[in-house]
Amino acid sequence: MAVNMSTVARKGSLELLQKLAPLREVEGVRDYFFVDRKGTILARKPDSPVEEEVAAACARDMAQVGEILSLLPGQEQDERVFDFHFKGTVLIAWDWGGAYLMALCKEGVNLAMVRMTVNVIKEELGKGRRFRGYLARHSGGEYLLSEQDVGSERYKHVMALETGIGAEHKLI
Amino acid sequence: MALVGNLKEISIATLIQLSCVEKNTAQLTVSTPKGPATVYLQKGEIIHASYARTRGEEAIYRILSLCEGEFRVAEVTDLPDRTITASWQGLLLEGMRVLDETKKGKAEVAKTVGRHLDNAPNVECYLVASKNGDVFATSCEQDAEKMAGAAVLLAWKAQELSSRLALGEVGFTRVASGKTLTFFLDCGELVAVIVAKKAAVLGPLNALLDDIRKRLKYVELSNVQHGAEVMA
Repeated sequence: MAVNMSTVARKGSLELLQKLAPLREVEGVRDYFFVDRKGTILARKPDSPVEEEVAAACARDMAQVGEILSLLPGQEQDERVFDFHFKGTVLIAWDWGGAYLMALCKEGVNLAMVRMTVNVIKEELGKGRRFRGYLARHSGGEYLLSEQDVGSERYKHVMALETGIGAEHKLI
Repeated sequence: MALVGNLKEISIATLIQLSCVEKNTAQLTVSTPKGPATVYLQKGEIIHASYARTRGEEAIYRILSLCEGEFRVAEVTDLPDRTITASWQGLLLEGMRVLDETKKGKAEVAKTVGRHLDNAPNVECYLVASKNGDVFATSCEQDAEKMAGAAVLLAWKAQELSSRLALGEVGFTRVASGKTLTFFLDCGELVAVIVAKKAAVLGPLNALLDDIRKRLKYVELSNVQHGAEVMA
């Protein structure tokens, strides 16, 4: 699917798109997109085949993963990097304070190279006042937990352990 | 008239028992992530079962381990060839015994993995648990239940990401945060969490994870004894 430039332009993320361009040069990086925790795509690879609603759902998944991990002791919440290893593919997600850069890579990709490239991008982005303001506007807000997610017994059980409320829920 | 519901509300063993006592001729189907699990009954006797590439008695034992999924019991006239001749009472008793042994087998495998991790350099803490929250081995008793819950939820979210993006089988998830690397392993019926120092040399750590994944993957209903022997 071609990039939806109207969305990109509307969100004012052309600059962001350019900043992410070095990722395209890294061998083994198949796709990438940048979403906030509300599920709005801030930027993505121009020929990304990932549909907007799929990217939004992924952002929601990442927000939930972040929430799950915050339950564990010793897990610092900022600057987390997640590598999901699947058969043939690695999905790397950077949590930048409520917005997620997600890169789909081939198995065996030079992970150090990918991380280094993203670190440089992050440095560049951090310098941009416009970007910082942009992220601040987009990174707030509620996690998009669906009723089904919140209603699941597993979720209730773990949250009950954390809060001590409703501890009668059993993990099933 | 069909009977429908979820195994969260009634156990599969009770469901089979009820149909047998009522001397029903019926097809019981449970929807599972591995595909449908099906049991055929003829006048209250179990005559055939199939589930996840298994058939006959082996399938029944696997089906008895299901604890969630939508089920449907419907009358049926077109019955398959008989693959099961044992009585339903005998099958259920044997199924319960196999389940019990499997649970003990899981615990044995997990404890062996735990002993391995106790001696591994750079591992700060670990946990091995079943997907229904039973903790089998851990070095962090205090937070074990919370860690087990988080590991199960994370395995679930990784599966959701996989299905959204068509990424295939989930291997493991690594989270880099602060000074630690946390590995979440989804090994079929078991999950594991391993917290290591960020400064750890990744080569040996990855080899260790590979080894543990292989060991935990041995925990399958049909070959749990074999898995324990291999590791011993």
